[in-house]
Amino acid sequence: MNRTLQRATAALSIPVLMLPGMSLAAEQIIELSSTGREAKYNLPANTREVELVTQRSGSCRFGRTWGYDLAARELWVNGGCAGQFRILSHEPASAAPDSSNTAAALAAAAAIAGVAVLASRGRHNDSSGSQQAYYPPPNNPGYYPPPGSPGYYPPSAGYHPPQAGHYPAGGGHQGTIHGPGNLCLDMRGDRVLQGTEAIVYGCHGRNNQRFNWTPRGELIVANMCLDIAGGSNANGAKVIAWPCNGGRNQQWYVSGSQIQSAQNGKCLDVAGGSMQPGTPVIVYDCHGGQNQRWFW
Amino acid sequence: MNTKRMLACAAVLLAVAAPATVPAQTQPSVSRQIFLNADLNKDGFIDIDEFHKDVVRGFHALDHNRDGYISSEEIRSIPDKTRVELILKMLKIADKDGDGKLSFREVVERRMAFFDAADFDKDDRLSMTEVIAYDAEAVRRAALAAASGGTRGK
Repeated sequence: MNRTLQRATAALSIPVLMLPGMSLAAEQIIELSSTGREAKYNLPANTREVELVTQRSGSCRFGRTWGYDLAARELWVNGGCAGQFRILSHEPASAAPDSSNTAAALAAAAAIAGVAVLASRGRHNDSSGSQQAYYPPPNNPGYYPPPGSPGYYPPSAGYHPPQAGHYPAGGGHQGTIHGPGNLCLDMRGDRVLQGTEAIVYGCHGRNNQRFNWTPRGELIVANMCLDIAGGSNANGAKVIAWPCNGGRNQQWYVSGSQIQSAQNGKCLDVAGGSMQPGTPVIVYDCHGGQNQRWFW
Repeated sequence: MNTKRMLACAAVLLAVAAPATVPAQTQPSVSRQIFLNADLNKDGFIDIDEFHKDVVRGFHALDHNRDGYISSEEIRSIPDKTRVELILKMLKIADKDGDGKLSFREVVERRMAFFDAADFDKDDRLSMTEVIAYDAEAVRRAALAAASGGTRGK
């Protein structure tokens, strides 16, 4: 054992402080380097995943020069790979949400069997898989019943009832979204990056103002999704660009001229009702005011 | 089961991997949707880190008791007898040490081999075209393997 561990420099080990009530899984950062031969580190029980945070030297490539086993509970590096690794644990909660998803399990099994190379299903798809049908939206901008009303199905459930006049918002729309004061929904700055803030700005139709509304209700701008920061339910929560992940805080539907979040039904809102270019766009309780009206 | 039946079965196995919002029609559309889900940074490629995430996510969808192994019991708990039978038949090959279950490491090694096989141009990442081509071929191959494996037993 000493032989394999002697070259391992598990230098620092920083358990991240957990505040009471935090739902994040605990994580730990360690350093591990190989010089010539393989180095190993014993993983704690309950490890869910290990990520390479920073490569220190050599060429660290998952599956070749670094890897881990959740059964033998060890992390290894070789071939000169040295780096900083983050060890993520399972949430202590008894519920294991992944395990209840039949279709995700089948997709995973198919990938291990080699029938498909990838296994990533959308996170919120329900378990009955291919039995469910998707009803495409009509050509006219649709109406989608608000949460709680008869006929409402959460868009993320993947099933939309074919009731007359009740359709998910998305699908087919592409282009600028006009807001109050002859301004357009816009992502601040020229480049849309992870975390870029949504604002209103003079319409120019360039990259950071072109939105593509997908059938799943995502508003995609420059390959990012319009997202309520941190999945917040607060009035005034920031709206930003974020890599698309299928979350409900990235799904939107129209109700009249309002654009509502599938997560909480709140409306896209120009903060403070300002007509100044550069004003942030937030989510807020829907009130039908001028600063919550949007048009394609 | 004849080859045609097994081909249909294998195609269904792949089709079920599609998100529920997408009709399970042709395999390419299914592969495409899974690709879009796995391409976390939306750059049009599945790099090794995104593939790692895909493997971890898939593993935890099956490892219900969190012991680091996927057992045949865990696979049998999927309420779909036909597909489970086919999967178990194919997984016998994957269990290198013959202990009747797959460790995380065995799963990673197996899936990395599929990654390498699918990476046609050897740039260490998968394009949409590579994924669609791999899946179509894999379904065909799986059907043939399952069909021949089925007749051998009789």
